Amino acid sequence: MNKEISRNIRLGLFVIAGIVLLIFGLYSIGSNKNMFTKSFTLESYFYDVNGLSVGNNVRYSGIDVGTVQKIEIINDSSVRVVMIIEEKLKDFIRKNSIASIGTDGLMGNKLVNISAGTSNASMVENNDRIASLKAVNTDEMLRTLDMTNSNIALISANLKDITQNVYQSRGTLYTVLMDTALARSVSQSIRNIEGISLNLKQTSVQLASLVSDVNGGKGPLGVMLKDTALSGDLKTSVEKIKEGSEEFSRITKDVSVLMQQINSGNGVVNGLLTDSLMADELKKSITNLQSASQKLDQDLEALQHSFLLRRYFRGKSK
Amino acid sequence: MTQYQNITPVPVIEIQSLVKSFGDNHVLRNYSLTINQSENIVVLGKSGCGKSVLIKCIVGLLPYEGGSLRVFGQEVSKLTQIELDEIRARIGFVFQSSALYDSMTVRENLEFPLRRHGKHKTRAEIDEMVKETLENVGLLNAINLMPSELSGGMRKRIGLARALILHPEVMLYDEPTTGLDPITSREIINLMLDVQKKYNTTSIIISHDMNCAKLTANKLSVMVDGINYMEGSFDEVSNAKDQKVHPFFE
Amino acid sequence: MISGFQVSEGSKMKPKEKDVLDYLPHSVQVFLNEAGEITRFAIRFFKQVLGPPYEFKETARQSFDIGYRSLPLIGITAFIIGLVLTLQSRPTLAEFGAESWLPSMVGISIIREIGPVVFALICAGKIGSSIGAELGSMKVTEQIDAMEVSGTNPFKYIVVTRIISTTLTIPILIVIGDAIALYGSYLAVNIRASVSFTLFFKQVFESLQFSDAIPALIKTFFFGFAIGLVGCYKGYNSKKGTEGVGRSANSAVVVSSLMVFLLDLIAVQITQFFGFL
Repeated sequence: MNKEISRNIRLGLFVIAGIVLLIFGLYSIGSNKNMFTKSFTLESYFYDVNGLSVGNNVRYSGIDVGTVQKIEIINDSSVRVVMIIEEKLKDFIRKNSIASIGTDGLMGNKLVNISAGTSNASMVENNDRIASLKAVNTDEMLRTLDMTNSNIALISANLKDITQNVYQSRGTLYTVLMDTALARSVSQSIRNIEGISLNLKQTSVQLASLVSDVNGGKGPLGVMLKDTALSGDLKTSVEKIKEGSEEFSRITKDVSVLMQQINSGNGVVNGLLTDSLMADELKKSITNLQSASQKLDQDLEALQHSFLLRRYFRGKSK
Repeated sequence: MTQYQNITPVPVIEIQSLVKSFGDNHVLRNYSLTINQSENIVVLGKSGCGKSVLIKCIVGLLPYEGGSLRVFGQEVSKLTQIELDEIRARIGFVFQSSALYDSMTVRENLEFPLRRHGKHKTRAEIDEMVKETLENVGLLNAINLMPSELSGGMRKRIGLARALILHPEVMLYDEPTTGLDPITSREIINLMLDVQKKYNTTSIIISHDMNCAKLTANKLSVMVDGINYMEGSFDEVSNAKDQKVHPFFE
Repeated sequence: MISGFQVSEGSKMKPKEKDVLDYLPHSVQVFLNEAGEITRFAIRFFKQVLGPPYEFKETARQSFDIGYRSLPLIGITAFIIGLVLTLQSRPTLAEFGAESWLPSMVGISIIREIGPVVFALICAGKIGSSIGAELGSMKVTEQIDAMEVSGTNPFKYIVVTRIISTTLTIPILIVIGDAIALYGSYLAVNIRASVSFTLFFKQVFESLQFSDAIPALIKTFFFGFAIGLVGCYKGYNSKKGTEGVGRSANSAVVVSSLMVFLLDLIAVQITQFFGFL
């Protein structure tokens, strides 16, 4: 008898475990479909639902808030989609919120996205209808992509022609790209620049000693020490020199970048990509270089002719 | 012989021209036999000649196709299920293979017919009957064992006890000593005789064991080719010179 | 029956009273005969299941033996199936970078198909064979006859109780098996990645629809019924002798497994017909 009772208890446990698991499972499925939470319905009319089906999720700000309850065709250009939404979302969805049909991930299920409305509209109520946005259709997207592809094909064909032309015509671009003389002249320029900067360094050293002389009250400059106008002049001159050297260093940097590009830019495609830019830059740099060195020259000239230092230089040249 | 002549013969089971076949195998062709109150009849016959079929027809386990079979005066084939069960409650059937329910203990095996025949009894009454019957077969200590734990002789005795528990008026034994060693056979035979004496039952014993037949029978019936070929006391039959009967006694 | 007996004796019967069925191959005849017999057995069950006496106690006892006793086997296999299925699916999903779909994919496949069918097959193996063998040996050792003599309708006591038990407990076994398989899957997911219990089950149930779970549940009742029916049929009609017992146990497993697949096929058609996807 005892055996029978224990058997019955086990059997009871077994059955109850099964039923509890079943109920739990069904409840879990149901609660994901908002069957057991308080909810309200919203509807929206779409032109095309893109394969949305009953039971698909409804999202608001990326959160699952409900499911699609019903989809029905109203007429040839509109489909009515009824959604069940959790009751608490009534405080967030506005009457001007917009429903759109999207996809969960790249290949996932279809879903309805509800965008947040603007704060000037009031909150939705049960059975409200909200506006819809035409869905981004994967097919359409692919069609566009297809068009883009053919465009790219066209462009690359054009490019091919252009490069061939460049190569065959041996025009300016080709020269810029391929002429070793140009590279040589560029490196010559750089050597020149080096020379200039050396000069510049010398000049500034000389200037420094000059200034210390002046500070020490030596020479003719010392006499005019109290003349503030003169000292202002001097200051601007020094600043100009400084500017000149800064610009110069920038230019040298440009040139070095340029040289690197020229050195690495030996393939046709790579060259093509950089080449218009490069030619431009090259031209500009060279011009810059010229004007900068000119300016520097002028500055130095001016410095020499500045009446303050005239005597000093004169003395020096003797 | 003397025993049944002293009492006015009351027919308990009357079989007339019984016909039973399985497909083309005609087991009982025209079998007739009458068993009176308190008689012990041993039915002899070759294996598979239809002896077991005969007693299964008596309790309605097998339908018969022709003839008449009356048990306690009622035609078996015309009984309703309830009437048939009433008759079955008055008959104890000892199966050849004991037929103990493998999934039940000895106690549950014995309780089964008690509960099943709808005689509502209290727990104590049932316990009492089970114990009494087990004592009769001398196996009270086996009460909580499973049939698989019993030896062949013990199983036979429990089978007998289960058949006896309702104190039936008629006992049907299907080869009660087959497959048992001579000593155990002897024990079973003694038990059968005890039962006969104690409850004054009428018995049909299916057997081809001469020893068993000799000890238990007060009437012998030889079944040959589906008919009651010869009937009489053990001495009469065993001394018959008939070619078909004689081989049994060699 | 008597007339049939006489006709078969009659000599006139022999010439060309050939039935259309006689032209069928023997194996087809055997199959159709078997199908007819099982159907008759099922009808007999339905006739007897409704009327009294109701064998509640025996049904409970059988439910214990059939359901509760099969729980360890189902539990272990379910756990392993959940584990292995997840581990095997991971590389394929990882190729698409969709490992996060593992819970929902495994969940759907277990709840919809693998759970019901695999566990039903295991039940067919365990329960079908044990019923077939038990009833076979009961038949062979005359226990069924003994029951009938003891004033019990053996069909009710033996067959009806078992079929009811399988019909009711196999669905429970499958539900529990599903749960254990999902737990195994959860552990497998966590071998490589770290997914919380809540997230895992949320993902599983999110991807499930009632249209996945309900038909899957309903068909398990049919599986249970088929397993019980075939097991009982095979055992109840067992041939004499120990060989007959073995054979009825064996064919109970074979036929009930086949029935599970056939029913599954039918269930798929029906669910699609009714628009469950």
